[in-house]
Formats: sequence, C-alpha cells, structure tokens
Amino acid sequence: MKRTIPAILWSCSLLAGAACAQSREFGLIGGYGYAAPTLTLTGLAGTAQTGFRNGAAFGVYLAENPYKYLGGEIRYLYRMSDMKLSSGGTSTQFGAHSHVVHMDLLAHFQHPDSRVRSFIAFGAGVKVIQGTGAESSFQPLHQFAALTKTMQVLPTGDVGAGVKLSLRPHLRIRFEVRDYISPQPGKVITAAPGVNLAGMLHDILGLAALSYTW
Amino acid sequence: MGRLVGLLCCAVFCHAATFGTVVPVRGTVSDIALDERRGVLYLADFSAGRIQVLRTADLSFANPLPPLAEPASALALSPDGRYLVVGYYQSFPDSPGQPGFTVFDLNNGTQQNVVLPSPVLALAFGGGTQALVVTSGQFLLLDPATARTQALGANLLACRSTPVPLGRFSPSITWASTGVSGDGQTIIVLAKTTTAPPLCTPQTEEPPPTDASSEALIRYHVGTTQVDVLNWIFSPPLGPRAVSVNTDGTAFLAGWALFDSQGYLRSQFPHTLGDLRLGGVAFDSARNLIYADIPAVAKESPVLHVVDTDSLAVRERINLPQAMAGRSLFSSDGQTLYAVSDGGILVLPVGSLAAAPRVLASREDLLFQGGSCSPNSMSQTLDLVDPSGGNLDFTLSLDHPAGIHLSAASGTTPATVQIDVDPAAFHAAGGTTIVNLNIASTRGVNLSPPVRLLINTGQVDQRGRLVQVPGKIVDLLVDGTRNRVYLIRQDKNLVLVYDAASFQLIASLRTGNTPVGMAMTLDQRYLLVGNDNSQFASVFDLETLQPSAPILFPNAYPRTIAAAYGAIWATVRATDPQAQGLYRVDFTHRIASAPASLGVYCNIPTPSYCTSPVPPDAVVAASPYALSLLLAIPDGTVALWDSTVSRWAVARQDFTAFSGAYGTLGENWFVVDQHLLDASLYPALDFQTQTGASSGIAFAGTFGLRTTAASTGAGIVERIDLANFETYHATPTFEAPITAATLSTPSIGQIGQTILPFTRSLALLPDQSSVLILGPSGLTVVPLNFDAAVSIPMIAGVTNAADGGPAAAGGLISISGMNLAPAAAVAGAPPWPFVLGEVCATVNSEPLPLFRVSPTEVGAQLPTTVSGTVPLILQTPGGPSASFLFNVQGTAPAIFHSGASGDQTGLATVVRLMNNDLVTFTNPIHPDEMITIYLTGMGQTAPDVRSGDPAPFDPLALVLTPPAVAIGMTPLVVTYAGLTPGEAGVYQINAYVPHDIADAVQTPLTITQGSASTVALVRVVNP
Repeated sequence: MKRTIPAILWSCSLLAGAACAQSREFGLIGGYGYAAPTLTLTGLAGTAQTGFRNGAAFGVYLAENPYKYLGGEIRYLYRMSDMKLSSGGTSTQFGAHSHVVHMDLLAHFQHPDSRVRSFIAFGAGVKVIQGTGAESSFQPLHQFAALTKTMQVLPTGDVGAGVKLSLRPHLRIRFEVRDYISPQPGKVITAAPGVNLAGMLHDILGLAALSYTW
Repeated sequence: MGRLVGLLCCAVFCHAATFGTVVPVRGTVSDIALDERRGVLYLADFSAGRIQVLRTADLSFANPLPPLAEPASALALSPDGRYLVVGYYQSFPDSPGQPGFTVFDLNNGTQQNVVLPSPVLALAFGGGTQALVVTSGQFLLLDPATARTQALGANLLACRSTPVPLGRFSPSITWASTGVSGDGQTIIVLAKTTTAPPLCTPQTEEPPPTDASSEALIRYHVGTTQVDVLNWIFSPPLGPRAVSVNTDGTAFLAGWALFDSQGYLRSQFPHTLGDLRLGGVAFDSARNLIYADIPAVAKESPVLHVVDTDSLAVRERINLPQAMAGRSLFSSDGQTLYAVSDGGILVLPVGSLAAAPRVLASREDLLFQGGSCSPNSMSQTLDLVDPSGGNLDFTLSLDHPAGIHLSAASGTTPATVQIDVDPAAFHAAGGTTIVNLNIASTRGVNLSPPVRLLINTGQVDQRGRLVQVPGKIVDLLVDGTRNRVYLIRQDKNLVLVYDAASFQLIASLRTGNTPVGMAMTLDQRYLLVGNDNSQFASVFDLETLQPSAPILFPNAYPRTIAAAYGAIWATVRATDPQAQGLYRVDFTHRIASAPASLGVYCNIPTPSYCTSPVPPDAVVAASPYALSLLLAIPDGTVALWDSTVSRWAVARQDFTAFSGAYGTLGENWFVVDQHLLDASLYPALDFQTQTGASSGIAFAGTFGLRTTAASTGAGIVERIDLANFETYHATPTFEAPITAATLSTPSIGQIGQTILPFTRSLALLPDQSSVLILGPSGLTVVPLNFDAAVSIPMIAGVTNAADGGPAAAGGLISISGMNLAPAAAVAGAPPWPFVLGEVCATVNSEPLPLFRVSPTEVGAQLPTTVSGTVPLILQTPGGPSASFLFNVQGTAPAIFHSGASGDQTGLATVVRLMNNDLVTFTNPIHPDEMITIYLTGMGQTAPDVRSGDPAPFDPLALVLTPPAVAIGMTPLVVTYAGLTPGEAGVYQINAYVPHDIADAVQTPLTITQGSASTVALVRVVNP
C-alpha cells in the first residue's frame, strides 16, 4: 500500500505534464453508505442474506486536473461497516469496518472556470475489511455462515457522478455518489460447509467534500 | 469407656487455648462501669468494700477510689462521664455504715454520701441525666448533681399482673441487675423477689407455686420515666444475673432467656441450671450476635457461645479462661467486651474474634457409601483450616476407630486429612453406622463440633438412594402444592426447604430455638413450626418463604402442631405444671391457649381429679383430608378430634406405653406404634414387629406404607393392604429410619435437643413416584414400586464416554444395555459412589465408581490398573448381569463431544483460552493462542489418582505417555497433558497454536498418544 500511492501520483504527474501544476485539489470527504443486500447464502437450511450494514464513511483525497475536462484523484475512505446476516425473522451482526484506497479518472462537463462543474468518475483500488466483533461459540444463523474476526483484502472498482461548486478562490465543495463494487468477502463472511455464498458487494455512498485548490 | 471419654475431655479442655484475658481481682466484683474518657474500668469490689480502677490500656490497676464503709453492690457512670454512682448493699452485722449510695464527682474529686433505708441492688444511667436506683424496697430516680432522689412509686411488684400502675411496690427484692439499650432510652431491670407475689386477679389466673421465689422483668422508659412490669419468671431461676439490651430496646437478654420488647420469651437457652452467680450475656447489635456463657452443667469449663440474636442458634463455641459472672459492657467501638468474671474481670477482644486461632472442619458430615460393591477401602478427605489463616496444631480422634484409618491423627492447619474406611468392618452392622470424628487443638480457642462419619454398607438388594442432609433432622413434611420437602434441622434451628424433584436445597427458614414439629395450615399457605425453647411457634408464608407473624404460646413451649378443619392444636411443654395440656391455636390472632377441658375429657390438671394432663411428649397428627386429628400420648392414651362436630370425640387408653410411628391411614384408621386403631380408636390389630421398631406411617390412597428400624442394620419399608391391613412386600432400604434412640445424642453445650418418643419418618412425594424415608444421613428416596419385580440387567456394549470409541484404563466409560438401573440417577461432584441408584458395577471384581445410571446406560470410571480383555458385571435389585467381556487399552484418547452452545450440541470440548469458549465454526482457532482440549482415556498418570476421586491441584497428575497434537499438518506445542484438577477421569491438554497455522474451514485436530489417536474437526482463521 505504501508503494501504491506514490506510484499513482507519479503516473498522474507524467500524464498531466506541466499542466498538473495548474489545478490541484486536496479535500476532506465524508458521507453515508448504503450497503445493498446483494450477497446470498444458499444451503440445505434455506437461504440467508449477508453483507454489511449501512454506515458513515469519511476520508481524504488528492486530485489533479491537468486537462480541461479530465482529471484524476486518489482517495482513502474509512467506512464503518458492521457485518450482518439474516434469514427469516432472525438476524445477527458482527462488528467490522473497512478501509478503501482507490484512484479514479474524473470527466467534467463544464469548463474549468465554471463555478459549477458536474462530473462522472470511475476507478479501482483495494478494500480492506476488518472484522472486529467478539467471537463466540454460538452465533445465530451459524448454519449459513460465520461472521469472523479477521482481515480480508479485496479488489474494488467504483463508478460515480457528482458536482463541484467553487465557493471562493481556492475553496471548493463537492457532492457525489459512488458505488464501490467488490467480490464476495469469503473470509470475514465464511459460508458454512455445504452453503454457497453468491453475489457481489455493492456499497453505494453519498459523499460531500470540502477541498482546497491551488 | 469412661476413661476414654475422660481422656478425650481432657484432650479437648485441659490443654485448649482460651479467648480473652483475665484480670484477677483481690475481692469479689459485683458490678462494673466503663469510663472510656479516662480510659478506666471501675470495679465494685463487694467483699473488699472499695472501688477499684482498672486501666483499659494496659489492664493495670490505678489507685482505688476513696474507701467505702459498706460493700459496693452496684455502679453506674453518667453518660457525660462526670458522676460515678456507687450503691451499697445491706450492711453486715458489725458494719459501721448504712446502706445507701455515694456520688463521686470525677471532675472535681468530690463525693456525696446518701443513706437509704434499703440496700441498693442495681444502678443504671440511661440516656438522660438521672440514674435509676433499684433498692430492695424502692425504685428511685437520682439526680447525681444534687444527690437527691425521687421515688418512682411503691408496691410496683405487690402482685403479679402486667402492667400494673405506678404506686405499688413490694419490698421483697433480694437482688437485681440492669441493662441499658444502646440508645439509652430503655433500662431493663431483672429483680428477684424472696417469694412470689400474689396474683392481682387470682380468679382468672393460675396460682403461683406456693414456695417459689420469682424474677420480675421491669422496663423503665428514660424519656417518659414510665415503669412497666413485663413478665414474671418462676423456674428455673433466671440466671445468670445479667441483663443485656439491644440497641433500640426491642429485644433483651435476661439470664437464660431472650425477650422481646413486650416481655414475651422469644427464645431461651435449652440447658439452663438457673445458676445466678455464674454466667453472662452480651447483646452485640452491631454484629447481630449474642455472646453468652450459660453453664449447661455444673462446674463445666467456661464456654462462650456465639449465637444468633433471634433463635439463639449456636454459631461457635469459644473456650474462656474463666466463667463470666454478671454484667458485661462493650467498648464504644464494639471491639472489646469487659465482663465480670468468676475471679475478676474478663477482657474479650470480640472485635477480633474472627482473627482468633480456631480449627474448623470443611464438612459437617462425611458419607461413606459402600456395601457389596464397595472397594477394599472407601476414602474421603476433610480439610482442616484456621479461618484466620494461622497454622494451628490439631488432633483427631474417633469414637470407634475400628475400620477407620486417618492419614494423619494430628497436624497443623491448613491440612487435608484422608479418611479411609474399611467397609468390611461395618458390614455386620448393616445400614448406617455413625462415628464421630473429634477435633481438638491446644492453640485453637474454639471447640470444634465433631464431624459425623456416616458409614453405610448397603447391599444391592436394599432399595433407595441417599440424599445426604447434614445435621439432626427430626421431622419431615411434603408440600404437594409446591412440590417441596420440608425438613426440621433441630441443631441449627432451621427448616430446610428442598425441591422434591431435584432435591436441591431451595431455602433455609430460621425458626425459634429447638424446632420439634411442623404442620401446614389447611389452605396450604403457611407452615407452622413448634419450638421447644421459644414461647412462639414460627410461621412461614410458603408462597414467599418469608417469616410471618409467629403464634404466641403464653407460658408454654409448642412442640408438635396439627391442623384440622375448625381447629389447630398443639402439644406443648408448659412452664407451669398447672398449665400443662393441649393448646388450641387462634391463627387469626396468632395466639394459643389451653382450654380447661377437651370436651368431656381433662386437659390441664384442673380440677384436681384431672391428674393426667396432656404431657409435653405427646404428639398430634391430622388425617389426610383434615377431618380428624389424632393425639398420641406415650402412656398409651390416644384421643381423636372430630372436625365434623368440632370436639374431641374419643379418648382411650388400651396400652400402657407406646412410641415410634404415629399417623393415619385415611380418615377412619389410625396408627400409633405397631397398633392399628379403628375409627373409635379401638385396637384393631397389631402390625408385625419382627423387622424392628415402628418409625413412620404413610397413606397412599389405595394402600398404606410403614417403616421399621431394627436396632442395627438396614431399614424396612412395607406396604399395608387397606382391605385387611396385612403388611406385605417388606423390602430392605439402604438406611434405617430415625427412631428416638438414634436421634438422641449427648447434648453439646447450649445446642438444643428435644427428641420425642414418636417419630414421623415417612412421606410420599407429591407425584407418588417415590417414598421418602428420614434417616440419620438424611433422606432415603425409594421408588414407590420398590417391591416390583426388577429385570436382570443385560449389557450390550461398552465404549468410552467421550466419543463412543474404545475404552482405556482410567477413562470414563459408557455401558449400554437394558434394565441397567431401576431409575435414572446422577452423582454429584467427585468422589463418586460405587453404588448409585441401586446399581453397582465391577470389572475384574473391582467396583467401579459411577457418575450416572439409567435403565439403558451407565457411566463409570475404569481403574488405571486394568487392561486387556476384562469381565464386566452389573448388579441391580434385579440381580447380577451376565459377565460381559470388553477390551481395555492402555491409552485411547477420546475428545468429549459433550459441548453445547446455543442450539448446537455434541460439540468437541476444545476451548480457546482467549475467550474461554468452545471452538466452533463461529469461534475458530487463531494463531498465537492457547487452546485446551478435554478428553478421556489418556491412561496412567503420575501421581496415580484412584478412580472416582477428584484429581489433585497440587501436584498435578501428568500422563505417563505424552501426547502429540497437530492441526492439519502443523504440530502444536503441548504445555500440559494430565488430569483436570477436581475432576475424575477427565484429562486435559493445553497446547499453543503457532503463528503460521493455515486457514481452514474444517481441518483435523489430531491427538496421538502412543499408537492411539483421535480427531476432531476445527476451523482455523489466520490471523
């Protein structure tokens, strides 16, 4: 991880050339995530839904806008994301959080001098999920899966759109929506023997950011 | 024998340490007063005619106060510490002085002498400024500043009635003693009169003994200066001459009795000599204790009894260096008790009594249960400790040492003594033999109660299982409404409440002193308990198991109680022979009284031709539907209360004496001893007596049951055919039921004992599944079908008790089959019995300790010495099984699959130390942590532990063949492999999980020991 971020920044510099120095942005970002119930466990005992709970997220990002309409950024997000498991009328949850680091390409629809600029974004990175709950010999719905106190690293991709507003020189505000898409976390949510875990993780975050530009 | 007892007594008393310090006084101390401001204790030296001054710091004497002309009889110090009042007794013939008192002004060093016409007997300051002066002719209030007195009244004690108005007083008091409540508002005076005063209203009250002196209890309210006569006591004399009042004046001790604020006798010490000179009492309200030295026998070694403040139940007995002899006073911090003693002053640091060296045993009773299946020796351990943490010497001795071996007959605390019993030595006795293990110490200040060794050598043809209940159990009652069993534990003044299904103790209800008999009210709501050393019957609300208002028996001690429709009757021991009779209880008003007659029959010995009142040893019992009530008197008299006419309808005396069982067989048949009586109480027939004395009778609806006890051996339970009243199917039980003879033991100090000649030892459980028989060890639970034919047991297989695999030496095994036990039973914590639920098992003729039995499965532990193909025989009341051969390996580790969590059962007993929880799919093993695996079948250990016994904590018992543990292909580091301390046949392996353990949803945890191995699947998550 330590090697990845300087490399991206270095790549950005190459891509942007001299123009990189024209518009840089550092921002603080936060919001709330909605974890779509897209993971399904299927076994002899029936079916169950699993995944993560909705929760807040916050982080930082560093952006470069070397071209008139194109830009890039690298971002770190901390997401409070307890795990959950439910079937029928029974549900259980397990403490967890995740760290996401990703790099995105942003395409703007307005001129850089516009006070309001809308954009779309897509990118990729990694998600580190950390189970933090207290393990015990009995978890409800253990016949489907075990929510585990362990760590798992997953690749993640993201797509999104948003709008930037210039509040004053060097100060900008941004609103956006992103969908972080990851494969199933089979280590922190371990399907019981004989149970199939299917689906992809979709974590849709509504975010707001305040940034400084120079 | 007498010599042996003498030696024993000497061992206990001659060299025992004592508690407290004696300060010898050259003279006779009649009273004391504590002056904490000056750090001194004033002593009224009666014979030397002076006031001695004892420094409390170093217990040395300072200069006495100025000499007195007369013997000092009483002392009192004003609450502000300024005035010390000294009272004088009647002058002797050539004495130059006169009776009266002197007021010492301790601040100014002055004194005022006042002459009175009568000797001063007692003095007391309450919370006010005036002192109460009791003379042989007057009660006076003294203002110490002026030395002026004011008469409280005259003729207060002129006649016996309570209360009497002021203005009456009898000049006949010969001595008096006072006690002041902690709040200073109440002064109790115990005054002895030369002769009993006449009755105030002789036409309605019983006459006093013509030649009796008496003691009056008088209460003085400091705030109102009101004086009341609370009670009169005639016999025995209310000694010792000491009064102690609790903090708020709601209870006080006077001599041998504990009274409430109204003067009613709540409890009394049971063995009282009435010695006025020796003994003392002190009410420690702060600790809710009473300290009492009440001699039980003449010239006994002085013993301080530490007792409860309600029932006087004895908690501890402490050796004193000298007998108390009058007043005792606490220091204001409650740490020190100063008491007048036989030869001076006793200084007792009661605040540090808990830190005093004492030897105590960890158990009250030890039950050794053996018989035809018992091993060569039965063993149990007993811990001897000094609760203050000290190292005290102790010596053990046995009443009957034959067949019993102690691992150490003496030693130093803390110590664990192993007691080995050779069953062969007790086989001839049969049933249960009781042997007292006596404990003595030269440095311990307490008198340790003996530990009862209950040695039962029951045979397999004897039915029942024993539920051990410590103590002296004298009565048994079953509560069908709540499925409970009530037992009276007389030595601790308790009703023990057991759940009738599990026989777990639910509650212990505190009764009055020396409970004897009990009954339930007709609505089944209340339990009534008669107490032979309290003038109240205890009442308990059975819904809440809380005490309810007790029933007052004025001048009588209730013993047995029975409730029938329309009446509750009680047998009593009356204080006055003229009031001896049967008492009727007014439950609404919670008071009982003796009617002049029982219908047409005499009750109390009035009129004079009623020479045979209902004596204290009589008993009453109600019929099943409470329509009748049976009264049985040891002289052979019986009487019947008929609820339909609310009268004592029948009374007969067809026998000269009887004892033993009493009860009813339905509404129209009655049983006393071996005699069956019809509805008119006419003797119908006698039951058989070949099997011993009658002990209990019970009615089961369609048949009856009775128990008998021979002088030695097991008990007998048999059925009674209600058509012809023939007894049949007499069946031996493990233990003989109680009889008056087996219950009676020598009295110990002030621990109560009232054993009636009649016994109630038999009851049916509410669901009629079993019969309960009260015996010396507790309860014998016999299935109601005790006489049904029992099939011969058939063994189908033997496996280890962990995972169903092969058995190993020292391991737990499961024997499967049919008819393996008459009923299910489970042993408690080890050591395990060799006979459980009427089942025993042998391998190579060696008995196996059993931990559970049922008709289809028996759990046992193999000895560590067996191996190879061995024969197993199971014995039940149906007889012995055929010999079953099975193979025993040296080691065959097997992980228990007895774990349970939530809805999961059968879990392997592998535990993560991190959270002390079972390893499961949701609680996987992680690297760098410890796990513990519980298993059986790991073979011999060092040191060897006898099968059935708990494994030791120190030293730990390590397996001789070390195991290897691996998860998948990764070996674990084993840090311990041996027996689990405190468990029998259970081994444990502690192992460390390495850092590089691989993730796996299911991977084998393999334990290999020698050529044997076992596997459990576990989940591993890294990290």
